[in-house]
Amino acid sequence: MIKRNRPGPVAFKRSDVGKLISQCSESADFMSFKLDEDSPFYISYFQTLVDQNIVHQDVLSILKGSKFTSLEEIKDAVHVENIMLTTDVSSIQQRVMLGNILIYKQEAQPSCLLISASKMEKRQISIPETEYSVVGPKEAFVESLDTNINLIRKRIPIPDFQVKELTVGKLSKTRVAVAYIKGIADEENVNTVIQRINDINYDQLIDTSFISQMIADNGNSPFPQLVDTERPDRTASVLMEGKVAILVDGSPSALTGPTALVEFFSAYEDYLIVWSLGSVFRLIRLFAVTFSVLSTPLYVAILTYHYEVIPQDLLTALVSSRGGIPFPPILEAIVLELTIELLREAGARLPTKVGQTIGIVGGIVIGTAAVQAGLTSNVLLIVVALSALASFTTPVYQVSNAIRLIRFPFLLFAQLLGLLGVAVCSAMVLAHLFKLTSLGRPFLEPVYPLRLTDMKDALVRLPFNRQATRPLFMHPQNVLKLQQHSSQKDSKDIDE
Amino acid sequence: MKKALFWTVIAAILLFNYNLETKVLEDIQIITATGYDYVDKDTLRGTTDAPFYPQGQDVKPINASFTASGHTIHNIRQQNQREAQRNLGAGRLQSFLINKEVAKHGVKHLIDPLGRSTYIGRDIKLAVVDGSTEKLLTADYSNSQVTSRYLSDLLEESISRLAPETELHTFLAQLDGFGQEPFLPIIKQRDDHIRYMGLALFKDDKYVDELSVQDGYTFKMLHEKFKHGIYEIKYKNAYIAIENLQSKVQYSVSGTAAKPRVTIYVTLRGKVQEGYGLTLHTKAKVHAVEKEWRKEMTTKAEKLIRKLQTLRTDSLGVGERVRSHFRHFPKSSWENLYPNVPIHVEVETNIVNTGIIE
Repeated sequence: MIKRNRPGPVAFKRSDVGKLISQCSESADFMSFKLDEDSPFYISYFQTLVDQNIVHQDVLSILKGSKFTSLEEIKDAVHVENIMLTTDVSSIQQRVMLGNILIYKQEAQPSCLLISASKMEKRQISIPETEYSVVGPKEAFVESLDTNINLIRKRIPIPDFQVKELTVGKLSKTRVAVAYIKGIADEENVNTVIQRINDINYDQLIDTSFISQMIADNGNSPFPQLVDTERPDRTASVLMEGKVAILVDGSPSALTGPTALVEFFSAYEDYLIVWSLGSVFRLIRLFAVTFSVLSTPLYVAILTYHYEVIPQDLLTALVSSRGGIPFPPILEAIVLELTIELLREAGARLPTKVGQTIGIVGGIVIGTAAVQAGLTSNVLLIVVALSALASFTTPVYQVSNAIRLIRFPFLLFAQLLGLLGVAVCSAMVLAHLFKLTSLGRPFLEPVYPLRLTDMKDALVRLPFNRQATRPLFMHPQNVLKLQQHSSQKDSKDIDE
Repeated sequence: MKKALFWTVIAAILLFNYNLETKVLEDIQIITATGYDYVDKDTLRGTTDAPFYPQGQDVKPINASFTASGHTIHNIRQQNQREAQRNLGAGRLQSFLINKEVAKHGVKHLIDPLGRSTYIGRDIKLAVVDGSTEKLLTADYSNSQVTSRYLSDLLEESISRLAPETELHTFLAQLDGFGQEPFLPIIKQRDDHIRYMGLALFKDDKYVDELSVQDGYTFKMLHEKFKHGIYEIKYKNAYIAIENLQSKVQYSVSGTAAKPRVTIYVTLRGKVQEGYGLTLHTKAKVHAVEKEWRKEMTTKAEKLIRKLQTLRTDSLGVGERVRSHFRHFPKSSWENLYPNVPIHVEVETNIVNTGIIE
């Protein structure tokens, strides 16, 4: 998919400015005109990219007001933030495409004046959609890179917070920012990220999820290896732990890494409520995901092979609900799982109001009707509905997709080998997770390799006074979170 | 390439070598109780209860039982299969009944397949039936829809409160272990109920004698710690019912390997539930009741132990405790030693509550 042939640097000639102008003129929104009859200057810009206020108030009014003879004079007279005098055609092209006003003399003068007047349409900062939390900040990233960095920087107002900017995408020329805190983040992680992003060779880069797939350690794994978050507070928080964040212009989310599997189960809300509650909720989420993956396969395995393990009191309920159903448990389960997936896909594609209706129609009408028609057992309906519900408890949306997928191989193995098959499939998933790395760091840390110091914020979240060290997992350059108490006092107390 | 080949081979093995027999829940007729009657020395008559679930929603299971004769349990099961409409599965067997006559001739050959099977849980309940197991298992009972359910509830919920706990696992351990003999509850069909009749004592794998329900309760007190049931004692022409709040037992072995002495310490905590005509508002009066309780329990316990010693059956597992107390205990001597080993019972009673009226 990634195009292999890398274009060599194009040698621009002076006459290429004219070529550029004529090339751009083919677009209807490109304006190019002479200031007035006796003026030597030409003005060109993309009408759709510039701010009309700047063009009229700050540029045209000044140019018309007095007679200029050289571009230097104009540069001194116009009071706009970003003015550049250049002869480099490639940078001229780039800046014109970003909404600069180009002023040049028709005659053989090689230099051009570029006045920044870009107007970028952007959305207002809104509340997080997928990572909503009842308490805590309600800001979410928007599609503007500068706004996003602003949202992070105001939470980390120190010069050590650094942003490296790269341009990726042969056609899209997307601005990608790699943010980290110097002195905390491991240089190796930063370099890995920058190198991998530089190695991306593709024509377009629309969203962070492109980067997430392109720089992943294992691109074939269903498990995401970088956390995708839309919360600036979460991003700032993990940056202070020593992680690296990647932001893409035009994408309302940030990627943070290196990450571990446990991080996908931690919601930022866990830190906003008492540690005991946060820990319990996190454990519930872990349980929910295990339940979501295993419940339907266990149903199939037990009903197909191991009726011995069903408790006496459940037996009657199960037998009577299964009785008269024409399909074996595996078909019943696959059909019902696919129905839920259908509902989910349909609900996601439709507008919100219609989506809700679909949910109700699917959940209540189809479900009840299927049971009454004797096509599925009501026990399985409950199991499948619960496991679908449980898969939504993960705070990071990407994981719930992975959970959706890995349920199906589990089902297949449950049918082939019963409980043994479930065990075999679990072993395979575990082996995959053991092998997986995130930016070269083990994905199952701190469980494997076992790092007890990092357990304080993994399966449970201990109180803040127990969180004195940053996770060793990221190899932070500065491990201690708490400030060392200085032995000398800065100022005397009043009574001294 | 190598990897692809590897996975292809794995997939091929899974798909083509795949001949696991499925046992889909609704295609199995689940055996929940079986019983065996005596025909002659080599032949048994086996009855199997396998409730049938008709198709449809909210259906009630129907009693279904099959009876056949044969030499081995599995042969009998195959004979039963001739009549059953679905594949009989023994994986959820819960009650295993043995006719008293069969028990008198030895149960080893009956229990053996249970011990071997991987499908059967170790917690199934065994019981000796006074009378025909066939009649007991095929009868209809007014208090339960399904006979086998009534039976398993009775054995698990009711009898385990009155008799010492037994299940397949303990029975097998007692049968094979040194210095202990198995025991099982006895049940009997009585009108349209099944009734717990007492405790069957085994010598090796053969039934030798039985204990009454009361003695069975005393036996339970000497055998394990538990906390339910009622002790009834006679005190000053009145009967007092004391609820058992906690009963603990501890064995202490002393003496020498040739002349062991055993003391059984029993600690009872109780609450007076009934005692008409009694006023127990002073400590001294409560102590008097405690003393009477202690006396009565000691007498009962010692009488029970004398009986066991006379029968030469070590159902309480005294031998095992003596053996583990002495290093290199000569196992062969225990058989002769047991009837004459001095076994004392020390009961400590404590009434913690006499009800809210005092």
